[in-house]
Formats: sequence, structure tokens, C-alpha cells
Amino acid sequence: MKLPENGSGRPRGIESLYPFLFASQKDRGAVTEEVRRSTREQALEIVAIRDRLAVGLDTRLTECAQALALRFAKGGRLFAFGNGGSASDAQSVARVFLDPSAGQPLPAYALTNDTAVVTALSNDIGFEVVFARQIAAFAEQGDIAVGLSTSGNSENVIRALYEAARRGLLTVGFAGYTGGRMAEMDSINYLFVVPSLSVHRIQEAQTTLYHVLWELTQLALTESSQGHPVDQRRPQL
Amino acid sequence: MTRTGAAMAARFSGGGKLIAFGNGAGSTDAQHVAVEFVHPVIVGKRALPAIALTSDVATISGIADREGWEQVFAHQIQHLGRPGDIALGFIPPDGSSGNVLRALLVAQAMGLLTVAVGRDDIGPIVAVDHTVMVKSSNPQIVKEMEVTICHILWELVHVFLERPAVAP
Repeated sequence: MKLPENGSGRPRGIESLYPFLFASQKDRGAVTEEVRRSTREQALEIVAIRDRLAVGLDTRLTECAQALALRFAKGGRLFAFGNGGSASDAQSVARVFLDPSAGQPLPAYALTNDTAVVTALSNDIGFEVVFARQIAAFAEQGDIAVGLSTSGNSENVIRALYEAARRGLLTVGFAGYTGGRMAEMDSINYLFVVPSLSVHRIQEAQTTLYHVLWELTQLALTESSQGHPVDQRRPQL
Repeated sequence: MTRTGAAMAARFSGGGKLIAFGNGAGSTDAQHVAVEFVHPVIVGKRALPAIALTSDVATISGIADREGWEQVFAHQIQHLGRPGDIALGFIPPDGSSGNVLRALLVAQAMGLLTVAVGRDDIGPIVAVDHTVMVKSSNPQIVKEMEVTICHILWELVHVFLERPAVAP
């Protein structure tokens, strides 16, 4: 692609654009330093959380990935769901399995993508049934359900995981804090809880967890298919 | 990031909205950052206008079919963007993201504040106002960093909105 260079040469400094922002130099310096410190602290915090999870959840993640690989190898599909930021995570989960940067593409759906179905169910019945009804319509016994909730208390995520378990799906949950109601459910085969009080840090750590789960699933599929190549496209992880 | 957050806050306080876009993982980042601003998870923080261009499947598929995938975000910026807005494009290291670059170029010509998250070598193509780069060749790690960057940018915007006189 060839794009023309920007030659506008207009001033970049926000001072000239937004003079109203500027108070005394002293105030600015103090707040800027405070904001920089806070930014660094938050970045370090998520690194520390990931380090702790790597030690605490490694075995469970590997077991879960092997269970996922087993389902995928038999034709199972993955359904991901969540609300708000977790809806975009559900879409990200589906995307990383379906359109991976390496390895074999696997069938995965994000239940939040279909605005017609989501709004129809919400309008006609209620938002608490959206994902459960979709699971009931689409899912088969050999499939996988992945529910994401930072609080662990999202009613529609919980209902969908119940419905999925009732139908014989493998159920995977991602939660935060202490796991909320999801931690009390016996319908979740694998629950991964990010023990943080920050919704932001929980979502960031969950992103890493489902990336690792995807990568381990690809590895498990490669190992299980060695000698019996079902797919010539080998993961290069 | 502090400078980026301050510049974004200034645009919001002037009535501007955030327009986010990206491909693949970047599309979910765009939707995530948009919901972050419109419906903050932290109680008491005001809602700010933000849209993700990838959410409008009807428009995107229409533009792609008629004008090509390269035009999708640029077309939307051209017709939805206003000079006081913010264009936030996600550009991972592993993709060409030609449509994101085009949209940033259009946004810049229209006077929007332009922010690129991900790659830092787009300078010769589009001289964006702010770049927050991620130094990794692993697409999963880039995505994880982008989520953190968005969360912190959201927080910085609110810091500077509440105390506009102290922005750097």
C-alpha cells in the first residue's frame, strides 16, 4: 500500500492547541509525576498477577487444554460469551481459536456477535436468558462453553454455563475477585479465577489466560495427532 | 501515555468522541475501549462518547464489497468523524493494517486527534499525533499489552478531565 506522506506540518504541542489546560508549572510537574508513577505501578501490578497465575494455574490450564483438544479432535466446537468488556473478550477467544496466528483453525463462536438474536431474546424474554438460549439452540454434547465474567456473578453467563453442563458440554469459566457465584457452581469443569480487586487487571489477566489456554490446546492437538496427522498445518508456536 | 491521555481528555472536554478501529484482535480491542468509555466499570466515572467502527457489520461489509477492505475504516471516519474527535487505531506488528493507516490519514486531514497503538514504525506513512508502541513480535502478547494500554488511557483521561489545569 502506498499512502501520501503527511506534510501538513501543523503544531503537535498540545499547549498551543489547548491553552486552557495549563496551570502553574509546579502543579503540572507534581501531577504529571504522580500520573506517571501510577501508570508504572499498574503496569507492574499486571505483570505480578500474571507471574502468580503462571505458578498457581499451570496444571489446571494444561488439563483444561487437553480436555479442549480432545473435544476439538472429535469435531467439537467452542462457544464463548460474556458482557461488556467480557463480550469483547468472548469475541477475542473465538477469534484466536478460529483465526489463529499459528496452528490449526478451530471452530469457535462468540455468542455476542449476533445483535439480532441478542436483542430479540432480551426484548422478548430478558437479558438473563440470552446466552443460555443460544447454547440451547446451537450446542451439541461434544461442544465447549466458555463463560467470562469479571465478578463471577453475571446472571446470563451463569445460566448459560448451567445449560451447557446440562447438555453435556465441557464448561470453562473465567472470573475475578474470589470467583463470585461461579466459584460455587458445580457445573463448571474448569474455573480460572484472577484474584484481583481491579476489573481492569482481571480482564488483562484473563486475556493472558485464554491465550495460554489456546496455545496449550494447539500443542495438545499436535501431540495427539502425531503419527496420525489429521491436519498438515503444524502449529509454530 | 500521560501525554496521550491528556490530549484525549482535552478532546473529550471539547465535546469530541472517541472512534476506535482495528483488525482481528484489534477489532475486539476497539470494542473493548469503546465500552470502557461509554459505560465505565468504576462507579461514579462519567460516560464519554466512544464508538468501535468494527461493530457495524452492515456498513463494514457494504464498504468492503463495494470499495474494498482497504477503505472500510477510512470511509466511516470520513462520514462519522468530526474535527474535534479522536481516532484510535490498533496496528499490530504482524499485519499490514492498510485500512487502519488509511483511516488515520483521513482522520488527520480532517483535524481529529490521531492515536496509534501497537506499532511504532508507521511514522513515514502517517504522522500520527500520539503513538503507544508494544515491543513484542508475539501477537498474543501485543493484544495483552493493548488491553492494559486501553485501561490506563481510560484512567488517564478521567484524571485529566477532573483536573484539566494540570495536564502536562
